[in-house]
Amino acid sequence: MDFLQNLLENTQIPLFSAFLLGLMMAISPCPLAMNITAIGFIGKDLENRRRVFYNGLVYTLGHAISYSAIGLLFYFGASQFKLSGFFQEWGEKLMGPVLVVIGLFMLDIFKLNIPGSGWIKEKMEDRDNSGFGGVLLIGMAFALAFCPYSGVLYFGMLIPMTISSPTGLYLPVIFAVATCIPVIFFSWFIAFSLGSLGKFYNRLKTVELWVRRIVAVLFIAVGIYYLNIFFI
Amino acid sequence: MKKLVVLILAICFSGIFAANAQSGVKTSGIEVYYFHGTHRCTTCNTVEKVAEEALKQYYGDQITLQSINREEEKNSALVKKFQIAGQTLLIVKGNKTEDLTNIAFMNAERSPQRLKTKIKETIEKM
Repeated sequence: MDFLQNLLENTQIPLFSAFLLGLMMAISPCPLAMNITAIGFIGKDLENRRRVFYNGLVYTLGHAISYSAIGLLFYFGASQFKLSGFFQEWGEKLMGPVLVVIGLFMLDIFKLNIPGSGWIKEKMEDRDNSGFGGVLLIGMAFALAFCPYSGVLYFGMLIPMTISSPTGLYLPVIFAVATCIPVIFFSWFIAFSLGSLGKFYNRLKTVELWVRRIVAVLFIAVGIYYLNIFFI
Repeated sequence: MKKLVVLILAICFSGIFAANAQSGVKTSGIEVYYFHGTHRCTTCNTVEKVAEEALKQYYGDQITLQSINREEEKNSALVKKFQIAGQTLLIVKGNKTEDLTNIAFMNAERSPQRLKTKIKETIEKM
């Protein structure tokens, strides 16, 4: 962290600053918890390991969409006070319930027929391996879990750089890539380095089911951790 | 040797008194606010601690840090007035405000002395 901060202070290049801010964000406590949860979610498709790597990239794309969208809102004049106040107040608080709900869906505990819930369930489970919708949604949602420290990094430092000129509008994308480097790395690692282990897994279809259950429990555990911070 | 020690002490003390005398004039009307949420991170707490120390060290009881929970209803007028969206360290004099949040969060853990110096400089410039 010290090293990153030193670099950040000594650089005048916005592109590099955005990247460093993203790295600092990636290793700060809340986004780190989010990233670990995300790695679990992304890595659950062990049958198709190449897909795990694509999942990592799609997750990063989700981050880029969220960060750029907020950046654009500010660029077009959204009130810093209202919008970033809203995210900093609610971003972290909503993560608990969201994670628990996703976890329960993945465990097949929710059988309720809420309109639209079938779609969410389908996206979350992705049984047919056809779409990246679930990962994209999670990428977008997790990006919005602003904690106090990451809020300062994003709203206090990145956004002013972003909205100072039209050429700054690409900075949230750089920032998003940097925040997802741990996820990209692990998804790459699972996809291309666990060679023999992967073959072993392929023979055991049941492992997939268990991985999904473990990931679901991970979601619920992290969710309860967040609920605990704010509501208990 | 003894004389030297006495001399050094004398210089230090005169320095402190001079600084206090000087700041006495300048600190009038200066308010230092630290806005935070109900849930607080490690760095958030450190920022508050360091800012408090700095004010005590340089200005004694003349300026105290006002730590304000921006999520509490009773503080909403202040939050609106300064348009506070997140963690914010603010130095205010009249209608002049200086936002030290970024410097505070970058330095509180790693080099608290830099934050303290910055707080002092900012107050002196107000």
